Amino acid sequence: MSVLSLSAQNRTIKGKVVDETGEPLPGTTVVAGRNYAVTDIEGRFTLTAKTGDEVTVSCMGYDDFVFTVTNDSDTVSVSMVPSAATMLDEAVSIGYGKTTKKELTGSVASLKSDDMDLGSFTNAGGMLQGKVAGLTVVNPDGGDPNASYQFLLRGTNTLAAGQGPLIIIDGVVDADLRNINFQEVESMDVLKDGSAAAIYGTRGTNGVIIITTKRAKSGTTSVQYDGQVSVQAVQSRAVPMTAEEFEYTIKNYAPGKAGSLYGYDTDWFKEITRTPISHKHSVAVSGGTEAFSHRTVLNLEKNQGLQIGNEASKYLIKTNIRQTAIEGWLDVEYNLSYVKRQSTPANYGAFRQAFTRNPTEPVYDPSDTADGGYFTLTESDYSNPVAMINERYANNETSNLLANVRATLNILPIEGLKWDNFLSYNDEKYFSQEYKTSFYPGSVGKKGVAYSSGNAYDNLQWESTLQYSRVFGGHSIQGVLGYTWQEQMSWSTNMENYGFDSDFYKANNMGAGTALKEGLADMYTNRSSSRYIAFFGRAIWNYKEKYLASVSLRRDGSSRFGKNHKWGWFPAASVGWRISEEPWMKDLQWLSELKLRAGFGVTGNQDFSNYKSLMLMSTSTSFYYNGEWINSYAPASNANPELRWERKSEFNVGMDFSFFEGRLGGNLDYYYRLTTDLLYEYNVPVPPYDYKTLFTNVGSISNTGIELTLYATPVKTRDFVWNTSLVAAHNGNKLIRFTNEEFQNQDYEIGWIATPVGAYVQRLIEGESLGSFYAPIWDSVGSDGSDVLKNEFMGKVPTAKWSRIGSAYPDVTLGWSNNLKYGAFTLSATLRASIGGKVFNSYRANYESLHQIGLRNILSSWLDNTAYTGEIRYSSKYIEDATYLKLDNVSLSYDLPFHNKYIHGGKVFIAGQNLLCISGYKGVDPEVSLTGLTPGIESTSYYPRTMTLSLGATLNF
Amino acid sequence: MKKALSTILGVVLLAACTNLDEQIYSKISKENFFTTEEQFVKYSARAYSSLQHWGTEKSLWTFVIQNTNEVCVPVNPNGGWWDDGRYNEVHVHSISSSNRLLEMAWEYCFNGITACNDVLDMFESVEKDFDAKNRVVAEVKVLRAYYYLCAIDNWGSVPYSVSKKDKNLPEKKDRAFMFKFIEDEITGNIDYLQTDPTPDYYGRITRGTANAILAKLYLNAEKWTGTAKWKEAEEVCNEIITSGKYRLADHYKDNFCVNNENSPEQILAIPYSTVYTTSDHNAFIIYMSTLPADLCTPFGINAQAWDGLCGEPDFLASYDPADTRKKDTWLFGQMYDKDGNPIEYSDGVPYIIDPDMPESVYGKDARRDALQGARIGKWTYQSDGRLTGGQVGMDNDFFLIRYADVVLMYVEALVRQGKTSQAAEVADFKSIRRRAGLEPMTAAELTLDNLYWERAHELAIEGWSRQDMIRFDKFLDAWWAKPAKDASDLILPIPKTAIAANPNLK
Repeated sequence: MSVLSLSAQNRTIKGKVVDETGEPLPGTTVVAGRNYAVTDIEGRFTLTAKTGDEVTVSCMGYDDFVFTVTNDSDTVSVSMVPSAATMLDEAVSIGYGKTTKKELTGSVASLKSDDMDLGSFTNAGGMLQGKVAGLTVVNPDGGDPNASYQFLLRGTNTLAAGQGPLIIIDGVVDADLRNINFQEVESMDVLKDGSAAAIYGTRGTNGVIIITTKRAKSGTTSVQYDGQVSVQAVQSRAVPMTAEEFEYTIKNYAPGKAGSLYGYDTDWFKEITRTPISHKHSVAVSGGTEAFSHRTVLNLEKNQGLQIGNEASKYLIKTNIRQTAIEGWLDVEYNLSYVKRQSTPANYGAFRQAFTRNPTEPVYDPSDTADGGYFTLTESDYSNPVAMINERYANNETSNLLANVRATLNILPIEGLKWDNFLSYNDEKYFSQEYKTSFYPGSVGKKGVAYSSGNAYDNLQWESTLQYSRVFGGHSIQGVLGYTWQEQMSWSTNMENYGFDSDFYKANNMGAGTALKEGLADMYTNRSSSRYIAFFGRAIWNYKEKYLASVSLRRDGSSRFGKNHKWGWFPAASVGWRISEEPWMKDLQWLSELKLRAGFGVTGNQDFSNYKSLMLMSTSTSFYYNGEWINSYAPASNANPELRWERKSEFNVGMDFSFFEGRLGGNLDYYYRLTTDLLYEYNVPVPPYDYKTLFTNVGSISNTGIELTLYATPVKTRDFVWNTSLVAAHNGNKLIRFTNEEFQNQDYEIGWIATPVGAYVQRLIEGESLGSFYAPIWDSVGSDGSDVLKNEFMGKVPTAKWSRIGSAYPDVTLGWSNNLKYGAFTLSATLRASIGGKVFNSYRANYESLHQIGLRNILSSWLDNTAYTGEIRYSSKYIEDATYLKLDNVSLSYDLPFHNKYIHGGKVFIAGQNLLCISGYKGVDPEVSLTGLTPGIESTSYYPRTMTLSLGATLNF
Repeated sequence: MKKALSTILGVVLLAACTNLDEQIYSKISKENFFTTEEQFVKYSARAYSSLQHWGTEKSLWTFVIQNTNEVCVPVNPNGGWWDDGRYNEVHVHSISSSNRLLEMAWEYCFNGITACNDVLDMFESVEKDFDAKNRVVAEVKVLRAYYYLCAIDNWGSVPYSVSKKDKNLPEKKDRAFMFKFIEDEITGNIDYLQTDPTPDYYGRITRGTANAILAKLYLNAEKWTGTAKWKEAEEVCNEIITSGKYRLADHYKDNFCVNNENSPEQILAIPYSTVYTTSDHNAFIIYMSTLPADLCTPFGINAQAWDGLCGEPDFLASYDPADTRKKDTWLFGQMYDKDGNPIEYSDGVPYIIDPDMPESVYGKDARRDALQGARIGKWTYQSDGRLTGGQVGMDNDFFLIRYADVVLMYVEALVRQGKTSQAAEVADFKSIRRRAGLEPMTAAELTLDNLYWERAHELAIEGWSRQDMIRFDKFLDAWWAKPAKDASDLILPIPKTAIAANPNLK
């Protein structure tokens, strides 16, 4: 009966929604509990609700309007108020706390889920590509479903330590992007400058990326489904000669090599590739009350790679629970996630073999049973790529369990004071098996080779902070005092055996191989741990949101440092002045925001391996002693009690501006960062040292740059909105020095490219940028078909006469994002460009030469210049301009209009990624790895670039 | 009480909350290692195992044999082994200080010296004494003297360091100083050494080894210090010969076969194994450096060998036709598989290697033919399939010093003192000649030139030829592709990397 009486109270509400000028607002959502309505073109809606229900009316660009249903609410009229400069009030994570954009004094870029492109990403890192000024995100492994992104923030600040930013996911420091679902990302905040990152001390130099994923919210239980299917097609690859071109070239230009013509026509690339299809699904269930809410997401991904057999899958379950207890004194939040990742890694060598493989050879030769029926020619580094794919079994599995709890004690008697404790445990296990059958090229005769390796990683983190925030008399203060303790432990194992009676076992019965018994198998285990402890504090103050200041100090310690330098101080200070808040600026109607910022901060880099400061011994060679072989022991490293972090000081000035009520705005930043105490491995004399190299702090590097972010809404009508944003950055890198009186390393020639090129292509020169290419200058092709180089002497250009060709780093990087909204349709497009910078074209250098043809194939592009018949000579000809413009993403989405008892709208989309690359570069892709000491060198071991087309849907229940 | 407890608790907590000591699991610190006497004795193996570098692809040994008239490395038919001219430089004597082979030759000596210093420092720091201490210390000191001898032989003045405790960079000392040091080290320690080279002393320094090293020192004294010490050389050789601890093996090949550890001729051996010495700093892999890939399978070797090192044609031509050591040292002529059947190069074409090559095959743009150039065959290749390429080394041990060398040094010391007829009558000298299928030399035949070639053929590619050629005034002459050089060629440049690490070496 009660059900009946309840339904009897349901009433039908009719209403109209208008904007501040009285014009109707179509497409506005009106929600009451599970009931839902959307306004039509005249702004009208009809909604069923009960007396006492709260109805929320929301429309993008306007403040939400909430009213309670009364007995008189049969017809309502809602007038929406445009939200005032909402962007400035957006919350920004700054590490151990949040602030708002307008109160920010450091250089922090903040991305919300709306700013991110639709499509398919191997992990959430890809969504930052082209979105943050000064942050370069590169995927050097193209279409590999197991590829990870590389990050480079504000230039290269190290020689030998890591360059990856510190990743913090929902409070877990040093987290792995692969363990979350990219669709779950709610926001990403990038702490760029020293004043912002200094709160992370010795781990702040490469920037900090703070990722917040979707979490529990109170409300009625809702179910969301997200799914997508994508296909890929080759966008660019290294193109060898076809069988026809190969035959033509040999007959006309290298008749002496006619013996290499086997009469078949094989497209080796086609033989090892396919059209990859991938799909991803996730279901999220959430809901609850203010006192108890939860969110659980299930995620399944199956991704195929271009190479036959190459796959990556992911299964994820994650639960977030939030609870409030003891009359508001205690807030507790639990996170539990389990991720299983499975993959068959690509065989990169097979792509190179498919390139060099003679196209006139057949794939199979059934008569050659010794080689498994594959057509085989025994030559070193010359393998049948089809056999490499078919005769290899590989399976990698990673499982990751993350459990954490955050308990916040609200000390209610003192307003704004709370004590927050966060305890997190992460347990990751990796297991890999690989088996090369008795017919795997290069292993024939070994009777099957099996590999098995494992890895376990534990990360235990405890953080305790005391936080206080208060506003009084125009003053707003926010303070934090904290302690953090983190221990990371890793184990690894590795086994290899061969000599199996049958390929049946694969790597599942490794003991059956004979090599172990003959003493030829390999076995390895390792364990290491590190501990990290810090004390920190920060105070943020502002007066009437006009004068802003922030100071922080961190005392940071790491077990990795030498015993004389276990602890370091990392101070930072920044100030801001919102000129637009001054009374004398209030008259400027067109100016919404003008803020000047300046900051200074010290950060460190401790991203190097454990135990580098200790003198350790390891088993060395075996020795025949008293009639038996025994182990000898030798030093494996020198003691370096002075070993410490790389120290970066950074000065940043910036300006935030916004005009015409936020229709146009942006940020401009200038920075100077100086990294001293750079780590590098130096040759040292033995004696007096124990070991021949010493890892120690010597050099310094500077990076100077300008970053500009502009955002605008050029068109905004009731049913059409165009939002656009542009990021641009320039960075200048300079290696100030990397030697001193004591440590004179002469290995300044780096970037060795093996024969037939046989040259060091880059140099470390004090006073120049890192990544500087050096080469003899190419002049012309001589009458004998050989390359003529400038400054030749006796057929050689002495290395002292080589010229600096340029640096691998671009002069300017640009990203341009557009979002056009028309009614329920949204069209987005993201372009990215890089101007300047050089890239070494390895495929041309190695394979665009008539000399290399014969047994092996060469680049088809040799036919464009048949006058060049000489031997490969390293020169400036192979160092090309890396300028490019890429169309990263185009997507069209449509907000579903169904709203009924079961379905509460949703979205369908189609997205194309990596669609176009405009560049003068003749190689595969001018966008190559920019991290490490030898950036800008395209590898011959590569994965082709693919474009991706995805179809996706989101449904809310 | 309560207060005290909470203070203690506070201190303990604070200490735990700030403890940053590193926990070590997979390597070991000195403190944890040296707990028993056995560990100390084992630690001295580090000094010895440095010797294993000798047989690797780039070592003092491979440097010396390419730097003399024995071995050359023309570019092979596949274009391999040019490698920026590093092999060529060594053979034609225009070695740059950044030459990788030169660096590795230097490292053989100085890694060895460092290892010895480290072991000796360690022993000195040991509180407790043990029975074997004096003998082990003496072994390591004499071993260090051997490394220093190699160093002054090649580089003249060298950095001198006898302990790691001196944190200053080592200073360069000239040959006269080092000569005295080596002599004192050996004579001062020889009485502690094992006299009887029993099997459990195989591969270690014994009294005989120390005397043989001393003989090498005295024999070269005139070239190194300007003062000849032929008499002293004669005496130490005589002690070895009359000790009766060593004798010539019945067959020349007994010294080079797979199981050569049974040869009575070895005085200092480097034991190698297909199982225990298999890395780029300790494997004996001459088969990889010299054999062509297509001979591996017929020889019973599961590898793709690199087809590099060849016999220098003039050296091959210098043998007496009756000298059996030529075929016992080199592979040339018809090739036979492990079962003795002749091998074909291709259908109907026999695999016949021509040891003669014109000088024109040498150089960057030249190539030798596949069937040109004798290969090193002195150490018998095991055909049981255990050689699988990469860094899997051979089981044959390498005799750094063997009795025949001592006999020839003794003969030379006598001839240099004018005691030619006494020399011609040395019984073991006659046996060496007969073992090679040759008649013993008469006193009239025993000229310095003939004695040089006798040493060259008996000890070919065993690593002593550089000092022999210098001592017999042959080193600066032109031979095959190598032009004549002036006296500055007698000393090798110090590697650039060594100078970078220690500016005192400039």
